[in-house]
Amino acid sequence: MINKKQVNKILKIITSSPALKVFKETQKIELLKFYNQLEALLKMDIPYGEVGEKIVLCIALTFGDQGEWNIFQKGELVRRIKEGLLDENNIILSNPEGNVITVIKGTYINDYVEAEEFSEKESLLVFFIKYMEFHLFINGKAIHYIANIMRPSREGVDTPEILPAREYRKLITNHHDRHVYKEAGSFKYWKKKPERILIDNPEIQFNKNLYSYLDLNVVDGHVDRGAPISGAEDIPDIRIITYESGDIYIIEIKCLGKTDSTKYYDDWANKGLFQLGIYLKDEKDSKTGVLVLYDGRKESKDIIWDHEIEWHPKMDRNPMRFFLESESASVKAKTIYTALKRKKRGL
Amino acid sequence: MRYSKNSLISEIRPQMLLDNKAFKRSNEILYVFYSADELALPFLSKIGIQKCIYLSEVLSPLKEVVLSFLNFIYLHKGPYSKDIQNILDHLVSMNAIEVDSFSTYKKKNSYVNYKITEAGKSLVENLIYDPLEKEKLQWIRIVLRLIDAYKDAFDLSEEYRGVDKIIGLIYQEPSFCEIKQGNRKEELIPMGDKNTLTMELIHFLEKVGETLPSSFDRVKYKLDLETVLLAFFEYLYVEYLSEKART
Repeated sequence: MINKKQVNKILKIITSSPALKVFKETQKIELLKFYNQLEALLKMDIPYGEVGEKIVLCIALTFGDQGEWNIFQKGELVRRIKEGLLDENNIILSNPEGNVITVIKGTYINDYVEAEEFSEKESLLVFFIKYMEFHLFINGKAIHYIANIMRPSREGVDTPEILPAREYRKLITNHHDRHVYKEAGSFKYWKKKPERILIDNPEIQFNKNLYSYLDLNVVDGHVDRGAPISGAEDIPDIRIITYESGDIYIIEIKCLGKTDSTKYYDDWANKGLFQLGIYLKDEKDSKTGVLVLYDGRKESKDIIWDHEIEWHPKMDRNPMRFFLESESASVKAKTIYTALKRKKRGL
Repeated sequence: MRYSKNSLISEIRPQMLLDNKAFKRSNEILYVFYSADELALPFLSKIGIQKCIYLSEVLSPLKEVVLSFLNFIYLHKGPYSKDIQNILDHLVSMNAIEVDSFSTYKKKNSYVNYKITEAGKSLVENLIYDPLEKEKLQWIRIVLRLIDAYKDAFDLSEEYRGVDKIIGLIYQEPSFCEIKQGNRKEELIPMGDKNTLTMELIHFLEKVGETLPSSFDRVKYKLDLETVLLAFFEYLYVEYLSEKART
């Protein structure tokens, strides 16, 4: 008999597996083979720290032509990257066997938005890898996203961190501790760390990173982002839909602090709460919703909540706020110690 | 029909190959080699051919293809059919397949690698004039294409090479897994559309869309034959990675 754990695993594969997504979109097993080989190549052949940290690579697939060299031939791609293959042009046009037809001249794709546009314009299946981020587009449609290709797992696998959706607080905290705290993972969110200036559009980056973590670690539900709620046009940041009951958990993300061009403080957090209330009201299957704040302000202070905002009954009454550290442990200790000494002296 | 002058195939009438049960089994194994050749797989080892035939057979009720079932038992670490070696010898003697090379298994045991000959290919091309035989070839071709797609998946059975790498997936195959977990060595592995665990999983996948609550777009998750097969392979891979993560 198929047990509950197996049912969840199967449903995770059906709803989230990149392999299945590739096949359902293209109906071509050879493209599935390409995906499996590319995943293995990125995890094994591209050494993290040497090439991996700097790599910005776009692979577009086309049928028919024979290539000059093969991406999957051991060490070949890394050797060519080291020789400067991708320094000026970074779109590799390959056939599904991995034979490189050409490196497209005069084009350098620097971010996933450009990769998406290129995929749409050329009607191609495009893999875009920047640092350890992995995107897959088919004819301009975003199919799959992985925040860090070096992660050891695949959707549906029992990792030590998997939890049910009802443990969403623990999942979000685990994500922070593993991937956000002090930029410990591959995700870098400071643009100018000493001045506490965040990267541009930080919310999108936090959203993508958390989504990728939840996609892998929520054991009993499908995770999506950018999907409208039933019967309305509102788009919450992240949703988890459980397989057994269909309950929906909504996660709204707000990022506080400064970027080069924006400043977001308490008002922004209040806006998040207001938005979450609307989503919970409109989504009939919603179970609960939580506001997650990534706080890049200068000091870690509680948010002053606007008394006029109505807290929806399904809303988690404790928004999760994570203060983004920018100081090393020794600097932080020194600051705290100095403050203590000043207090003692009555200054 | 053009056969090698030295071949015994020239002495066998095609009808004979279709009527005789022993020949039917040989044909099915030959279809595996033919499909491997189409996929540009250079050869199949003794281990690889056992695993390809096992998957083709255990999943065949999905397409209602009637294969001339071989008996597989749980031996050593995986499913094994003693008939296969005899059939391979028979096919070599007929010059339908030939010895390509030798490979080593876990750096100590060596195994023969086989590939189809031109005479073997001609034989297949004649056999598939029979629609039932053509259907069998098409089925085996689908299974082989999936084996080919998964054999290079990340972290899979690193101690093996080529098609042999799917051994890691075979160990997770539900009907075999149940016998293995019970340590029931030399027990016959159930095949066909009986109440096997494999078919239970397959039937679940066929209706998976209906399992989901209404908050999901059920139509989107309705699977056709090839997608059911692919989901089955992905499940084996996920189980393989899960077991690795636990140990």
